[in-house]
Amino acid sequence: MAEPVQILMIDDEEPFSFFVKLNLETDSRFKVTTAPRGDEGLKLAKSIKPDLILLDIMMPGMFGTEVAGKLLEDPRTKYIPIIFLTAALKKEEADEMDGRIGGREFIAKPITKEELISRIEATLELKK
Amino acid sequence: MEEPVRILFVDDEPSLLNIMERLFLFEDYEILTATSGEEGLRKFEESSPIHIVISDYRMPEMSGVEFLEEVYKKWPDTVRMILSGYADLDAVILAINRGHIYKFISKPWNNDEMKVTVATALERYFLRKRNQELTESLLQKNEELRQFNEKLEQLVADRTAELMQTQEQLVQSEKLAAIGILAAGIAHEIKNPLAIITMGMEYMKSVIGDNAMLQEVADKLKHAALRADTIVKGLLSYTRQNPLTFKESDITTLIDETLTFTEHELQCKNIEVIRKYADGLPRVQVDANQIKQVFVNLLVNGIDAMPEGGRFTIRVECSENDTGKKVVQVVYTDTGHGIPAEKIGKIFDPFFTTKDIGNTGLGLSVSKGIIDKHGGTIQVESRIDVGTSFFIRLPVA
Repeated sequence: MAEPVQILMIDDEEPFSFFVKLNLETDSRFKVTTAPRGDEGLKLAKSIKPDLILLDIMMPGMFGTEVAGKLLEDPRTKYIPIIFLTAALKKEEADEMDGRIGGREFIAKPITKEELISRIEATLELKK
Repeated sequence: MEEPVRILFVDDEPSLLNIMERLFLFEDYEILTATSGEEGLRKFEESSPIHIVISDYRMPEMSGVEFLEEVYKKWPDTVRMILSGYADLDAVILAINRGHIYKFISKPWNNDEMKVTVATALERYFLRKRNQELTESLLQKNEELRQFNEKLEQLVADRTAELMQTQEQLVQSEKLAAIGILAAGIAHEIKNPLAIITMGMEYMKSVIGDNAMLQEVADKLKHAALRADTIVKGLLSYTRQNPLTFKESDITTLIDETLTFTEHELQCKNIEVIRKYADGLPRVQVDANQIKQVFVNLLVNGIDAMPEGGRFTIRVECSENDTGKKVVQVVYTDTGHGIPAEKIGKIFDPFFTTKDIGNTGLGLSVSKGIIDKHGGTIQVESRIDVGTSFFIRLPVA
């Protein structure tokens, strides 16, 4: 069996990260590591080099957009795909955010497990 | 040029007529004569106005009184006088008393007196005329004043209505601003816990296995959380002030697209859809997504109003708005339970809902906002247990 997909989830809502981890890991294809803050997430990104980062935008300390900027600056992390997660915006507003989040994947909270998995699959071009 | 003063003498005795003519020969009058009442009436027909008529009382065929009665009926302005001997005095006095004859001149007459009498009668004629003119002009002025007053009242009423509308709009926009602040503030705070609940329920569902009861509980909890999310989204969409992106579109295509979204639900609820699209409809400049949101809102409302099934008629036609501009009119008519009269005035207000919990009461308010931004109008007509019609008018580009 292939190695599971390493996902790093950076979100200050710890119960949310916890449940996302539980849900994703019911599927043996996924392994999730969580970080409650941007700076911590950045360190983890460099050390574990995840296949995908789920990144909250509104966080205390460092905004997700800033975290994404730093990930892009670092050659070790610049190719890691990012899916933004946020509660502040509706899906339809994602387009307007283009300038700020660089046209990346975008998920509006709340989200169902099904939707989340299908978005991850789409981003990583995974086959079931 | 002033019209000449005309005096008509009627007597069956031509010699008397001659005397009269001679009497006024040097006066500036046009003297007419007739030898019978019938001829006198003809003279009236030919050369109106005649200012004064002096008629003999005793004439064969038509008497002087009868003649003057006729004159009175048709030419009431003429001053009527009668010539008579004393033998006929009673009949003449009666006629005078009835008001149809101004004066009686006794035969034989005194020439000077006759001249004074005619001059006085003329004076009376012109005084009356003048009086009439004054009265008429007074009446006219009065009417003008009344109309002016009416206009003024209308103007005041219009202005008041305008002011009230402006005030209403102000209140509405203040309401909106307050909702905006509230919505933006709470959306983030509410969406996070909702996201947690949803994810938590998802996990529970995956581990409780085939315990049907627990699965049902988890499903219901998950749906409740998603419903709360829909409400928050409604709030956000209400306050979003996105600029519209107008594109020339075919309105019926947009309607058909929204019917496709709701097809399943319409079928389940046993609702028949009848489309009546006019031929050769002009295209309209609209933000397709926003307009579709309006159509979906109307469909959803209609579906909710027809829980036992029914019929949706969607009519699209060319029409004119109140100012005579060309518009495309879309009419959604359902056969639902209708909206009570006391509620119909409020249905476009934010947070007003006739439905059960779980509804934001923003659908129609949002819809109206969208139509307003398109420079269109949305109106409603409803009859209890007959159905409701929404009329949307969009200007033709």
